[in-house]
This record gives sequence, C-alpha cells and structure tokens, in this order.
Amino acid sequence: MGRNLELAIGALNGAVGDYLERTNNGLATAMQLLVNGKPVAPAEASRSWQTAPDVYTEVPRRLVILVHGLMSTEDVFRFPDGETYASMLARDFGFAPLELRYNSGRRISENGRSLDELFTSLDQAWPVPLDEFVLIGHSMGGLVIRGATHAAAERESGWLSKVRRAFYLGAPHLGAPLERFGNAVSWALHKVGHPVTRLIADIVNLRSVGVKDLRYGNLRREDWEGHDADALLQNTRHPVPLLPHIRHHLIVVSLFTDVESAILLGDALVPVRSAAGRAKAVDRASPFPQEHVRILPKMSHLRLAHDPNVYAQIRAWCEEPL
Amino acid sequence: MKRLRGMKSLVTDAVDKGSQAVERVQIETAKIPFDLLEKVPGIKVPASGVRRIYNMSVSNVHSMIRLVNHVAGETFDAMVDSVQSGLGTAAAPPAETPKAKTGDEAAKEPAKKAK
Repeated sequence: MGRNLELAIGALNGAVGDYLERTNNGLATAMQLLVNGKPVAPAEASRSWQTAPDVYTEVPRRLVILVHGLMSTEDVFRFPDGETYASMLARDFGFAPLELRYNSGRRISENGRSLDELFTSLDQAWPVPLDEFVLIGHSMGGLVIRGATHAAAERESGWLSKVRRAFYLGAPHLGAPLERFGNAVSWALHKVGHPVTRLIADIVNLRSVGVKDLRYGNLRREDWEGHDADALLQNTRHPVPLLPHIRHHLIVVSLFTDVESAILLGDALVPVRSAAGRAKAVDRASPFPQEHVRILPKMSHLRLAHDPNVYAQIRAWCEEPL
Repeated sequence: MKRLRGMKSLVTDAVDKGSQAVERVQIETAKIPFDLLEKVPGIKVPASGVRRIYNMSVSNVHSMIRLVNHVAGETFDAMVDSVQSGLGTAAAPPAETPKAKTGDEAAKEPAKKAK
C-alpha cells in the first residue's frame, strides 16, 4: 500500500506537480535524498555507508546518486531483489549509494537549481571531503542532472568539479515527440473554436510544465521564461555546453531490432537520436560525443532503469580510467 | 494528514474548476441555437426569455454543485482537525502536577543553591 501510494503520488506530481506546488498542496513532493528508500537530510546521508558495513571500512568519499524520470519515483530503479544500480556500484566500487526523489512536474531548470543546492549541502555536510559524484539519470532525470550541472556552473558550486562521470539512460536530450504531438493536438483543438474542443484542449493543457519542458528538452530558465508554454511547436532552447571535465555516457534503448524502426521510434517514448544526443543546428542543443553511446535493442524505456545489461555497461564504463 | 488534506484540496479544486468549465461549455453551446431562434421574427421574445431561463438554471445548478463541494470540503477539514486534535491529546504526555515539597526539601533548597 505504502509503495503504491508513493508511486501514485509520483505520477500525480509528474502530471500536475507545478499546480500542486503553486497551491501549496500537501501532495507536492519536496526534493529529497533517500537511503534505501527512506528520506534523509543531507547531514544524515553519510549514514548510507553504514547500511553495508561489509562493503566499507571507512566513510566513502565517492557517491552515486540515482535520479528518476517523469511521473516516477526512485522505485523505478529497483530490481525485483531490491538492488539498484547504486547499490550494485556500492558493492563493486565502494560508492555510497543515494537516491533522489523530486516533483517531476516542476520546470527542469527549477529542479536543476534545487538539485544544485541539495548537492552543495550534501558536499558540505559529508563527514569527510568527497572525491567524486557519479550521477545516473533515467529519462527526465538525465535532463535534471544537466540542469543541475548548468546551475552549478553558473553559481560556481564546489561539488561540480567532483563530477567526472554522468550516465543518461534514455534521456530525451532533444525532446520527446509524444509531448510535441500533445502540443499540436491541443493547439488544433483550441483553434477549432467549438466550446467542447476548447474544453478538451484546456484539459490537455493542464499537464505540468515539467511535461511541457520535454517537448524540446528545455534545460534553462531562459528556454521558457517569457514564452507561451502552449504555443505551437516553438523550440526556444538555448544551448547548454557540455562541461569538458565530465565524461557523458548515454545508454539508448529501442523496442525494435531493425535499424530503421529503431532510429525512428526508439523505445516509443524517446527516439534514438534524442536519447543519443545527436543534435543538429535546428535542435538548438549541444551534440554529445558519440564514443560513449551504447544502443541496446529490444528493451523498453522503463526497463532501462533496472536491467542487468544496462548495469554491465555502466560497470564497464566505471572500470575505464578517466 | 498533510497528504489527506492535499487530496481533499485537489478533489475540491477539480470539482470547482470542472463545474465552471462545464457551465461555460453548456452556456456557449446553447448560444448557437438561441442566436438562430432569436433571428426568427415572431419568436424572438419567447426565445430570449427561454435563453434567460436556461442560462439561469444552468448557473444555479453549477452554483449549487460548487456550494455543496465547498461545504463538503469544509466538513472534511473539520473532521480531520478533530481527528488530529484527538490524536494530539492522546499522544501528549499527561500534564505533570508539581509535586508538593516537603518541609525538609524546601529547607534544603537554599542550601543547594548556596553550594
């Protein structure tokens, strides 16, 4: 019951989380760190290493943090046996495993700023100086990570220099066609002008600004500020340069094995080109280097968050020297 | 309790805004035939009378829905408040009555302070 309730609240936050936050509704999720599914304050997060005393002999200096995607919670990363990529990296490399829960209906840039503040507190509160932050983001979580690193670069936050590897699992770096379709449909319904179609358009437009940010993968405040969120297919992005000291790893999945379908449809939610960050000038986004992109066939978007093959790839990349 | 109140707010907001939207749609949809009828000579006056009655009844029905929704919300809040205050009373430790000091204890106190 508790788990299902959290999942339902996560989904609700993704759908109308901006409204919940604006109206101070008690169902709005505040951004928080979790250890083994339990929320902890940044000052208490270091006790995560105590959860596996056989793994650590001293307080770990390296962290791995899982960031979930739209309408979900940290639970999306859980394997049937309760393991996550973070707990497996903790066992294999001695990282301290942390998870993040947040309101995925907020603007990606706003969540990025909150995450920057949270990591700053975490960095300061950790009992020993930290050496490394490893960030793993699934779907929208990957964009939140990019939003956080951008905010940290602007504010010159100390934790940013400790990020050397970031993993993006099916993150829509160039946006998601499903949201663009929703935008076009609601715009067309509004244009019809009949009271009923206008009402349907108004209902469709109730979706959160977090969802609307996925239209083109907005990362910065300037991408949306002063623009009509419901205007027809307007890419107002400002490129966010990739930080050179971070090695960006992208895992892309496709439901299909044949190349054409895979490229066109990807995992049905995020096409391969978007998840692999193959940006062109028209995308108004920075292209990702393709040497750390791995495409896995016959896998769904959600499966990407808890799959042994995906972990094997993450592990292999972690074994590579920086 | 915070989440319960949040759920209540969400439901009452949804009913309130939904009712406003449906009211607007019902009045706007009926506008087209009424506009046409009012152009027909001879029935303009009765048509506009019927339109007024129709609009009024639609508005009254939706005002009533919103009133009931508001009252139900307030009732729910009052129930949650009473449950919460009941839980608070049950959880609070019993008020301690100050123990009466014996004559000896009272006599020792100034001596303790002096130490």
